[in-house]
Amino acid sequence: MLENIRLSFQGLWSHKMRSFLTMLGIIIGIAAIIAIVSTIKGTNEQIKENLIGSGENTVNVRLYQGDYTYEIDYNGVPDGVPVISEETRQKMMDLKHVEGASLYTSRDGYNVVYYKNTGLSGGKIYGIDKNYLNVCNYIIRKGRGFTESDYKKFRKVVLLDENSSETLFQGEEPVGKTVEIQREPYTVIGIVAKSKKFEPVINSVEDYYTYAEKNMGAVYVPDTTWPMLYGYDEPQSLVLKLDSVDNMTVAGKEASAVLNNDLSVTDETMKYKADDLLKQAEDLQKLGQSTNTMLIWIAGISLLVGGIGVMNIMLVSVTERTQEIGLKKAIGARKSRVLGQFLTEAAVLTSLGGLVGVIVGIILAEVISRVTGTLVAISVPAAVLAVVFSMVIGIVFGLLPSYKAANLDPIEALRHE
Amino acid sequence: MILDLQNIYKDYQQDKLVVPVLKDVSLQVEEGEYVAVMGPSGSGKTTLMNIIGCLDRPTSGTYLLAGEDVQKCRDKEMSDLRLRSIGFVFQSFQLLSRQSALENVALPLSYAGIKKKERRERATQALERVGLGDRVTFKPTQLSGGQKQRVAIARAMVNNPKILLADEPTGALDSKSGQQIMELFQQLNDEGVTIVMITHDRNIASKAKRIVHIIDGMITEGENGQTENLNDEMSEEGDGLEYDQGEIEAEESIPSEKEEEHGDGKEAENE
Ligand SMILES: Nc1ncnc2c1ncn2[C@@H]1O[C@H](COP(=O)(O)OP(=O)(O)OP(=O)(O)O)[C@@H](O)[C@H]1O
Ligand SMILES: [Mg+2]
Repeated sequence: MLENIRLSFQGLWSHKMRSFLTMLGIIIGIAAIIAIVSTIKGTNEQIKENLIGSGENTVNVRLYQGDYTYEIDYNGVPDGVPVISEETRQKMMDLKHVEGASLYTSRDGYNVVYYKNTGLSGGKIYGIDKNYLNVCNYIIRKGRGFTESDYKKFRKVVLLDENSSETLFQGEEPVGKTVEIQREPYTVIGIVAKSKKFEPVINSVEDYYTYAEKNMGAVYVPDTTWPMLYGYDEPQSLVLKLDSVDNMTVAGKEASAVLNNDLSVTDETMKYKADDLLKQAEDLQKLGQSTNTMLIWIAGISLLVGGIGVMNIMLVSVTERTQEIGLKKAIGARKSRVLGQFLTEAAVLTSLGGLVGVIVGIILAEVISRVTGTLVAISVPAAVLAVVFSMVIGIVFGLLPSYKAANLDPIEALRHE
Repeated sequence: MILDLQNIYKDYQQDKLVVPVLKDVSLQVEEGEYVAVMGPSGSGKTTLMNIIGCLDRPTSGTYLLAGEDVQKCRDKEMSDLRLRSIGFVFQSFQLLSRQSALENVALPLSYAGIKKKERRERATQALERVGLGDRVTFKPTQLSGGQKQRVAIARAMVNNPKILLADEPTGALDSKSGQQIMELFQQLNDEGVTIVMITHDRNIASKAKRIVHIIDGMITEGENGQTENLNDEMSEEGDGLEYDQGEIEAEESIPSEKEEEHGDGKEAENE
């Protein structure tokens, strides 16, 4: 076997140009497949990351009116939508896949929060329960978080994220200072940040707004102090932490159903809905994949053509080497031996083509990534599979020529000049 | 009896015509014999040798090789007989041009499943035996005709077969190289190898201990298979059996490369 492989390399090397041209079909096919697969994988990861946030398995359940989220800022507190109770939150916790649940209210931060004369130019102010920071994977960067007594004693304390702290304090030490929220003095007790830094790639206008809003900063107060700011207990939004990204849709639906049970609204379109990010991601992926499936088909056809090319050249090679084959058979080489030799040669040829194809494909994927700015993820299993697949192509398409060689009549073959 | 052919017939199908080539050929060869087969072109010598060499099957008749009925052998067993029991030497050498002398000689050893190291050793020994110990790395294109034929003989003998079959081994060589080949054959025969050699050349045939004539697919040796004396044969057969063609060819002394082409061309003509 090893001997056969060595001989195959020798044979291929002695016809460098021809071998290369024969391999070209396989190289192109495999390179295309590897490049496509890498780009798909990269794009998929990117879409998921963009929409869902890196490694953060949280889903928001918010009040919708029709297709849009209900804005308390402009529409006022809605009738028939109750404040979500602790029991309801506990019910959420009992749902499958749910690891954490938190309630919060939020309003626009513009013209609401000031330090001396500096105000936030946007962003959001959140009234959060004591689970929020944990559920949404925030960590305390500086100072401390909210304590039980902050909630019980309605303390006017506030946490800033890094953006709002930068905007308001511009380098000054914020912890211990007092800011004004709706003219109420609040003491800054700490700075929070996401435990994982997430840098989304911005592909669309919506992406931009989502990201920009977050970028303008967030301000967090205990939800028990919310009525001091806005006068009422308001219906809240719900955020769930799940065991995995893949269960977002299911758990989000179940949670919305529980909340909608308690609604007594006249407007039929007013409902709790989960942000179905996963579904959005999947829709985007599907869109991408249908074009990619087509490309894979094209690459497949290129491989088929490559395989036929290999068969063709092998047939030529068998005819060319008739005398050699005849001699070998005459001096005692068995049929199986000749068959093995030619099959090995075909397999070595296409495997080599596959290997070169994988390398070219990876280079191609990198180039695509540079040019279009999309993420590219090289898949090792795909690369291995590609080489194995090329080998199979060689064996399949080498079968006919090898069979022809093995069955040559040595007498005829020796007479062949 | 190492070779025992009884009432061998061989027909070729040409379009719708059946062409009989061998007609009731019976031939017995004892172990250690040295037999020359002579006959005019197209008389069926090569056809007979293909049958003896297990490259071809007779249309009818029985052939026992060292007691084994070749008719009953399957393709794989025929290959193994060719590998282990028979060595072939052809007029046009039939060496692989891209392989060195050593690799050419080692080829049958690899089919016999012998390990690489032993293959090298045995192939080198075989080349030394034919006097080419200093040419092991040479490619066939770098060797003279006589040297090429000696490489071919080394290859034929490397598996120590009992029988050596040669189809006009000196046909493409000048008389001096031919002479050397004949000396090698004699040496092998002295060591006990059974040799069956086809030739056009009377001088060459005279080196054998026994001469068999084929004319028009029939053997004209005495039924008892006795060793013939060349002089007897000449007086018996007279001018009817002059195979001048071969002699002329053997006496030509053009450079080896051209000789090979010339020889091959002639073979093609004959077909
Ligand atoms: N495959 C074949 N099909 C048809 N006829 C064939 C075939 N092989 C050989 N013959 C015929 O058989 C006859 C004997 O051929 P063979 O090669 O045995 O002759 P030969 O005695 O070796 O001649 P030469 O001395 O020229 O080599 C020839 O007439 C040839 O045409
Ligand atoms: Mg002949």
